[in-house]
Amino acid sequence: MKKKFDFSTLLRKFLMYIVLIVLLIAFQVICKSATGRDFLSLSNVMNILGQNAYLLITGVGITFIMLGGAMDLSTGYLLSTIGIIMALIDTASGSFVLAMGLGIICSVVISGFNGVMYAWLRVFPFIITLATQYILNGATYLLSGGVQKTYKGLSDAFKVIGGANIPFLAGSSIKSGVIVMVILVIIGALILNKTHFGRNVYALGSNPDAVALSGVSVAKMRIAIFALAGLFFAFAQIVNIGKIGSASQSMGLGAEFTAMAGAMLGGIKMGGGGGKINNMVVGTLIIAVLNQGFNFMNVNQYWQKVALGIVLLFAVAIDEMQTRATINAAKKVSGKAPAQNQAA
Amino acid sequence: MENMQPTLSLKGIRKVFPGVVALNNVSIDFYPGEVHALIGENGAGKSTFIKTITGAHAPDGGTITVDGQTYNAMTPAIARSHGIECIYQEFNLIDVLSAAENICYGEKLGKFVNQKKMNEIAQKIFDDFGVDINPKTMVRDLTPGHMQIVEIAKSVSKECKVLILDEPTAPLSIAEVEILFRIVNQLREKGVAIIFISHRLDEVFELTDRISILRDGEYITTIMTKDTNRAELIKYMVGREMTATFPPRNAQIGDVMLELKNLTGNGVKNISLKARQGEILGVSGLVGAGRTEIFKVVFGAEKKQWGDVYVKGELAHISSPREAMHKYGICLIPEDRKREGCFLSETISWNIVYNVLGRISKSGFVNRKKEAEIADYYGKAMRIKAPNLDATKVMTLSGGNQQKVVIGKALATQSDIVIFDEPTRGIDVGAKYEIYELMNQMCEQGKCVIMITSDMEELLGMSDRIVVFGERCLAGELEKNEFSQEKILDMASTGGPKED
Repeated sequence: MKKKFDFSTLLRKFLMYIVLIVLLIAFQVICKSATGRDFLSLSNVMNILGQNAYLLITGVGITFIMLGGAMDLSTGYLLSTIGIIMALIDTASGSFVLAMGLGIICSVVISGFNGVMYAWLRVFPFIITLATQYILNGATYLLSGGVQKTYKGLSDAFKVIGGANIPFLAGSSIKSGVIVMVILVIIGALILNKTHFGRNVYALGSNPDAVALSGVSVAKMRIAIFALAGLFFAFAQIVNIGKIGSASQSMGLGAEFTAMAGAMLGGIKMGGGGGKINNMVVGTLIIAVLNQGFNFMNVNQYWQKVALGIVLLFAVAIDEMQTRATINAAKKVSGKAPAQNQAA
Repeated sequence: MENMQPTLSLKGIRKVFPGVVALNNVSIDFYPGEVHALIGENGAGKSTFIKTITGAHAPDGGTITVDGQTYNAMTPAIARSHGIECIYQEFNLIDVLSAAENICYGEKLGKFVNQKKMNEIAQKIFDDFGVDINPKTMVRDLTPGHMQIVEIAKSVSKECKVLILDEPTAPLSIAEVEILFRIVNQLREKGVAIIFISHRLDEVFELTDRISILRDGEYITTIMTKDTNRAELIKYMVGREMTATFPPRNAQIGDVMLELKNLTGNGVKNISLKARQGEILGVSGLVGAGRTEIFKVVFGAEKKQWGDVYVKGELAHISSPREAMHKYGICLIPEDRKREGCFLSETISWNIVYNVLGRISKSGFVNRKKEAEIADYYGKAMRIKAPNLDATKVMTLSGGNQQKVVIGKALATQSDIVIFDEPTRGIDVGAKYEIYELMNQMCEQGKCVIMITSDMEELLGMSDRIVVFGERCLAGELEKNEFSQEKILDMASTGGPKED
């Protein structure tokens, strides 16, 4: 059994990277010929990253949750709730540090609560996070006196972390949120790939029964995963507020689905079973590039949604084919069929 | 009976699975109004035989004659159309529907769902049976015994001519067994041919008219129940030549390493036994007799109710598998490797080091070099055949190699007490031999090996001492000079004390 160069394995591994590159080139060609504008300009690429930095940070948290075999429907409302909490504290105290600190603590506690309920009730987190989603939706409005409200005039520090333009190559600039995103993505990847805890995340998604027999507390792991995700969600919303410059109830809504879609597109499986942070990054970037590309071409935003749905189905289909191919290959027996049995 | 026409007649049935002949030239006739026991050890071919009758398997040779029509193979639809019904150990009921709805499931009673009529049909059957079940009760709210009665009622409502009961008494209490026997006797009087599969010989003698014995896929004989006795049946069931070979061992048996005193929990009561250094303790008994269950308690994976565990002479308080492994040096290699043993979607190295991550991590970060060393060491020691330990995923390995990964993963904890649960199930002969050699090595290193197995040859060939479980308690213990298949089977098939 020698290891041989296998083109199809390589293609499988890098398929989504290729899709991303093909998309970038296709949009460049189409936009250039249709509108004369460059899609692949440094400033546009930086813009795409800046717009989606908070989604990628959310995606890190979502990736932990998905790899651990769970899901989270409440992320979007969690983001908006945390946004409102930080805006209220910032406005009242004028202290960004206090707002950020309490925001992070609230986020970890609320997301951790999802984990506690999951660990305790042991039902699929779809139901639990659906419930918390309603609670949080109500909470955002209750916190701001029952009305839709936009909080402006927040501390400049939000902007410094999320929305400041830092000079970059060739006269372009990079949003500070992108740098925060890159750091958090790297931290996420380090935790997943290098630490004991990361191993347990994969183990939990792969086979919780075996984890329990190995003496690791499945309940504690589930709580820890959701709490850690909450940490990333808090940073995502700080960056998001910095980018927009204000906080409101609708900020962050839908992030859970975009982040899950991005992760799945990149090859992270719902219900555990493998994948890495970079899969999520590539998948989320494909969605981001699609959106921006369609914007450039002035395609109706509803068509964008239709296209995104089709791409997602396509990605799931490819993933499923690959899984089946692996399983079938494993079942295949080497050698030839024996001659017919005469005795029977 | 000889002048009657059999309801169901199987002739020369042969079924081959890759690597095994599951049935070879089996011919049995089943007559109306008889209860016909089918007995044999684990793996004798009983299940395959039943599946041939119900159409779940197509045989490779032989014929099946039912109602005067002869088939080369049944299909589930043909079997149903001739009134062949089977009640498996796992119930096939829809637990969110009522008993009546389950009984009438698949039958069209008018254009719309007719609850009233269904309840009437169900009530009538229950009345005939003389059991008190409300037809409107949801199946999930019933006891296992009542669920089984609903299953039988379902078959009866379809006017079955052949009723197959696969280990029907296993989940039942004594009172429920009595009801079951009464119903079976009623059906016998109505002329139904009943095939009764059971490990419990007492029940076979109480209920059946004739007994057929299978052994290793071969048909042995059919005898009248009244003309035979327990000893004769056991002789028929085990009369086997030992064919497998076992590697020689040169072990020094030392002090007691693990001792259970009246250990109770997970449904198993008052188990006391000792396992010594350098010894392989064979643990026998039927599946579900409590062998796996009690060792899960020892391993801390299930709660104990009372009793004590002593490790190397000292009282051990094991409340989790983590403590069992890291504090007391006990590891368990589970029976279902895919469900409990390993992480299929991860690599071999990843799996091997999983239990010892704490030891090879520094402030949470896994030391890749140590990981590679450990994986390499156990990969070599286990002789895992794979191109690359660090890249090959466990799901792509053969059963034997997967099992070696699971063993490697357990041994990496450097435990002194190693509990194997069905160590060689579903793996080929070559890999089996290698696993036996590994066990011998462990003994020579002064470890204590506990081997839970349903494989009689393996049990007799590898063990230094054997304990036998029967009905959730300890049925007996045999020293090497007392080993015999007959004794083990006799102990295992004795219905032990049972409580409601």
